[in-house]
Amino acid sequence: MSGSDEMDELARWLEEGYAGSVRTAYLILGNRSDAEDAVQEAYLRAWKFRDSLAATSSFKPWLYRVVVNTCNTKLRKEIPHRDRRSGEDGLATLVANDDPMGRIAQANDVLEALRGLPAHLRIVVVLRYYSDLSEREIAVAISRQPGTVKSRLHEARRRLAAHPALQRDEESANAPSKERYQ
Amino acid sequence: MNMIDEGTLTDVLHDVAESFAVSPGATDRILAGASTASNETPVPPIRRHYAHFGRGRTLAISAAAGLMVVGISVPLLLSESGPSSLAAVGPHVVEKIVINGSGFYSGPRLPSSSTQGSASGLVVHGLPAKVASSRSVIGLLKVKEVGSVALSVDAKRFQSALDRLAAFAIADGGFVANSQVHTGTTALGSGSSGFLVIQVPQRNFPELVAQVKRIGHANSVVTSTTDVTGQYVDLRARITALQVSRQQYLKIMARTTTTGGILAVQSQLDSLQSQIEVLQGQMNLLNSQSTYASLTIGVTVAGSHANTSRPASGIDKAWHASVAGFVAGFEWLIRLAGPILFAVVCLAALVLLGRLARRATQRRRS
Repeated sequence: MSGSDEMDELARWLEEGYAGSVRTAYLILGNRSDAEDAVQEAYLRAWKFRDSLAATSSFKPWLYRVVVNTCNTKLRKEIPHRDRRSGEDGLATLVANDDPMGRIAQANDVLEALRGLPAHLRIVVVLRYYSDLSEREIAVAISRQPGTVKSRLHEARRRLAAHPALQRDEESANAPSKERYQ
Repeated sequence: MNMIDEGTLTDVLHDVAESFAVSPGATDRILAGASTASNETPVPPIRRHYAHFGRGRTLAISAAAGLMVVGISVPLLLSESGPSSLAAVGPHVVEKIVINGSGFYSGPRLPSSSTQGSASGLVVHGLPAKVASSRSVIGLLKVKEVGSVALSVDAKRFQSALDRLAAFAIADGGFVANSQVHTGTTALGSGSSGFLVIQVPQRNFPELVAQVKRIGHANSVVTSTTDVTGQYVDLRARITALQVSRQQYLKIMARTTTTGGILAVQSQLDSLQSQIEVLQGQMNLLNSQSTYASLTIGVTVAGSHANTSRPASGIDKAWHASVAGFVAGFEWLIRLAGPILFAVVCLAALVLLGRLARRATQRRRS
């Protein structure tokens, strides 16, 4: 394969998966600039070791594995040593859209609960419910057994359900949303 | 327990994640970075090769580790258990203890061909089969033979037994090195006991043991043979070296003219002479021990307090055999536990290392 063909292939990778990868990384890391950095680094690493792709059956889990590993590295090495993120841009950006108030409030609660999860649980939740990977694909992406994925998903759902933000949401489910969040 | 609704979770995550636009120039930066990286750092071929393995490589490492552990453990197990322990004792050191009637047996086991005797009192030959089969070998070796026999005789024959034992010593070219006799006070002489230490030339030792056993009832026969050739050679070498030193000092003494020098050399000579004499004494003892075999014979009157052994019944024998078997089994378990524990620790460490290495490789690969 010539150099230009290889670049074309990488361009195709980026076209197909870059946006999804950035958004996945964003949900895992909780910060947009970190997410873009992580994904850029992940794609470069994936491209560098693209030959090992031959050993794997599917491209998507393999790519997510690289992204997840890069996010894990950031969570472990960079983010804990940094001052608490000042520019958290999750929900602030979200509320700028003209969604109904109740939906925004619900998103706020879920996101808060998601941030309260440990990283290993947050990752499986994001991969399952946002990236839409199967349990087997998640297992490949996080280098664990499918059984581990299943138990982590269960644990994550249990913790999300028990999170105070979502408890509050459930208790006041019948209350008018405008009243709750005014 | 309430579980969060999965549909809601999916919707919310999509809402949150898709609430911003991805930077348009990011992909160009990645393309540029990839273009530069592909020119600078090619993938190492070794990584490319091993990338196709993974679990297989882990299995190969585990198999190699397992083989290594087995390789270490099996010789350990073999050396610590089983009848081959005779080899650990040494080729020329054999000791057997047989207590008549009880069936107990201790000390290294000999091949059955080297054991002679009957149920009423085994004749124990002190030398290993290979050594014993050829007396000419003993001529080249310095071996020390010692033994002891516990005899019980009738009260009437007690004194005559002692006399006959002394006569055996002389007849076999030896002598009675030590003897003690205690005559009983009862009318039947049932409290009488005594012991003799007989030394005979080594070549007559087996014959002496056989003769002694015929005097009365042999309750136990213990003999041992120890190879002292190494000690003998070592002593001789040390003596030779000291003698050479002494000769050198004597030459120096001849040339020394000052009183202080003469005294200093004399002091050294005295010290050397003293060492030579000590070593010479040890060598003489070894010579004596390897020339004469020593047999200690305890004689008691049958039925006296000293002789408490009696022919064992079948149940006694079975009980003792059972106890001995239990103890032997327990010893075997304890011996086995060490190597197994070692193997388990090694395996655990290797598995841990393997897992860490595998995880690191996978992380690096991705």
